[in-house]
Amino acid sequence: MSSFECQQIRVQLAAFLEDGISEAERIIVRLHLQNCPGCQREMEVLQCVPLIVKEWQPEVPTRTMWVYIEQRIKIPQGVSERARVKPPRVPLQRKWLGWGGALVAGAAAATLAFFLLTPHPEPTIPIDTQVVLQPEGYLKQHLQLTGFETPTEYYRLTEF
Amino acid sequence: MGRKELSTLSDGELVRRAQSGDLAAFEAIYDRYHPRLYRLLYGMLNNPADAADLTQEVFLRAYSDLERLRPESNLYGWLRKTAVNLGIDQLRRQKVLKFESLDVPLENEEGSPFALQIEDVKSDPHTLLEQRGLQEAVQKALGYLTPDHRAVVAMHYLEGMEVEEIASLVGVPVGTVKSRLARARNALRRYLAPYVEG
Repeated sequence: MSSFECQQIRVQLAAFLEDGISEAERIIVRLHLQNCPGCQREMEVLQCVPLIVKEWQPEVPTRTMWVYIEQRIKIPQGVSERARVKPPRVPLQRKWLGWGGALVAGAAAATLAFFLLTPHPEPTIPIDTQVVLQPEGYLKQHLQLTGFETPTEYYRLTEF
Repeated sequence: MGRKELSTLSDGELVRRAQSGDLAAFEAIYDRYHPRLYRLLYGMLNNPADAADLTQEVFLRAYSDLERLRPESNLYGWLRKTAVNLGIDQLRRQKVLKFESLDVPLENEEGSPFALQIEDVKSDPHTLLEQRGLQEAVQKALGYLTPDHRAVVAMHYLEGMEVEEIASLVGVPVGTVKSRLARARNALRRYLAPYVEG
């Protein structure tokens, strides 16, 4: 047999064994195998593969697995799934820090709410500004006393 | 009834007893089937811790579904189907991570048979044979396969499941399963050369 033909057949041998080629291809492979000891030998080797794999027997952690299963099974019925999983223990210090933080945040929120919701009185006009609202005669007299020439200059310089 | 006597009872009888609250009967079911399920899952996942977790999960599901199990039904078939489904789910979750295929170069059949150098499998197969033995060699060889190939090898070679059943469980055409098996066989033939060429 030519090595080229053998190459073509050997590529198909595994698929031949797994029944993964067409009937026409099967016939070609069978005919070749009848006359080629080399490919027959390769066929035998490939046939050995599943037998070798079947011999694999890994070590089984029998008791470890059963202990876990038994523990899970023995949890009384009616216990919620949440209760089955033990929550991680939080250190006491962290717990108190948590409570303190919540307290401070609550106080801040209450203060803010009080500030926003309490009605505030209208701002009162400062006494000095009220001078502007006085009757005209009083203003003229006031300007004379203070030395300003016009009311505009007075307002500009006495603006609060 | 003692453990030895329980081990002689049929699956149906054990299921009946377990349904009536006999934990020893359920343990007998576990004793009977857990090695096969563990091996199947280990073969599929190539990870003993994951295999143990999922084996436990199979039995916990069986226990919680005990009421619905019919004693005359195929108990092992149910357990195996649950195991395979859990295994496939696990493989799908793992696929999210980038996977670097180790046996693609074998399929290309170009140049060196091992594009990625893996320990001493290529350099000295006889050392592998002598030092590690068949068990470890098979375990390693399975580990070198892609997850898809490993899963079908575990189901077909280790468990003897039919190709049609595998196809329906994995959700691929029968032809794909056969093709994966053929490629995996070629890859294993190389990895296990010292044993198969005997």
